[in-house]
Amino acid sequence: MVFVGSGSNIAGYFFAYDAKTGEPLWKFNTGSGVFSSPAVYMVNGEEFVTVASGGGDRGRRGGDLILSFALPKQ
Amino acid sequence: MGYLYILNRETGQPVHSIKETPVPTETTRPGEHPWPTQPIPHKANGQPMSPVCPVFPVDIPSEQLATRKLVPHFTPVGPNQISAPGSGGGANYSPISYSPQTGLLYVAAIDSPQNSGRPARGYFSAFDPTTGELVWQRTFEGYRAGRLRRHGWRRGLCWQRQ
Amino acid sequence: MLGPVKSSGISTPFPKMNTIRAGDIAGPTWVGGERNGGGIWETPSIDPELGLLCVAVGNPFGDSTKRTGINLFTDSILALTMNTGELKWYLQQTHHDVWDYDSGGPADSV
Repeated sequence: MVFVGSGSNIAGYFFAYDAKTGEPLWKFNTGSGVFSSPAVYMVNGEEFVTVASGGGDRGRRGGDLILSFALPKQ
Repeated sequence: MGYLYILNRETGQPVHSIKETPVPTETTRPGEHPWPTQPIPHKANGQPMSPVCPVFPVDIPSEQLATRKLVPHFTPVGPNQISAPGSGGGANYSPISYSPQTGLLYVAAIDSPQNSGRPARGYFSAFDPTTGELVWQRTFEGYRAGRLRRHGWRRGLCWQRQ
Repeated sequence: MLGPVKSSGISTPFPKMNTIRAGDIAGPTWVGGERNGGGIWETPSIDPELGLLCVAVGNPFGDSTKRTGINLFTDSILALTMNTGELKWYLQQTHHDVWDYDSGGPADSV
């Protein structure tokens, strides 16, 4: 799985794609630009991916969030 | 400038060839001396690599085309041009990622042609470094960001490369 | 310009390196008096095994008619030895950039 974020005037999506095929798996509109790299971590065997959302330069909607998503358990 | 370069980390030599490729040199600016070639990375099969985002403008609204012209990559800057990837486009600024599991390199890029008259688009590509081939490419609305390759579902082993 | 960096937990003064310097191979690639730009936008990457620091250098700017030549080391990837800052290799990705292209993402070592 690969994650990538984006930002625009109306949305700031965080996407997940299948790493091998590029098939879109999931997306979440964070509301503002996702411009930095996400990170993964594990707590008690549960995995999370976390990313900052706040990019608002060049006319894009700004924000100030850090979002964390739990990855589905295997 | 829209391309992925794959180099031997010890010597800096390209894994597949980089060819100095002739580019346009006509310019209306007095005193300008455009460089006549630019280094374009090629694949193992000798063909040019696919760029990480368009290097010729795509999907330009007709209103823009009425007053400006589309120009090839590396055309010297002049009036009334629409060019790609644009100063705000290309593989700005995200690090690439690599997965030892898939063996692929992942590159995020922006399609934002100069004077396009339309919103920027994100491009996300997976390349096979052993051949230079583009394996898959997705587009999405909006700009780019950093990306992460997650490794090893079952073992929960995760890492991020800058 | 790179400032002092710590290596191996010991504070070691790191030689400063000018990405658009006047001397050696870079100097003659700027003809006309203009020499500007070459900023570093992204965090460099390191290869601890080879002891290399990889830097992506941005574009030149200023009047392009006054900087005839390929304008090293703008729009280039530089590999410097971590301990001495010596330039081991470089690859320029755009010669005589007039499009504000930058050498964008830092190199990933695999």
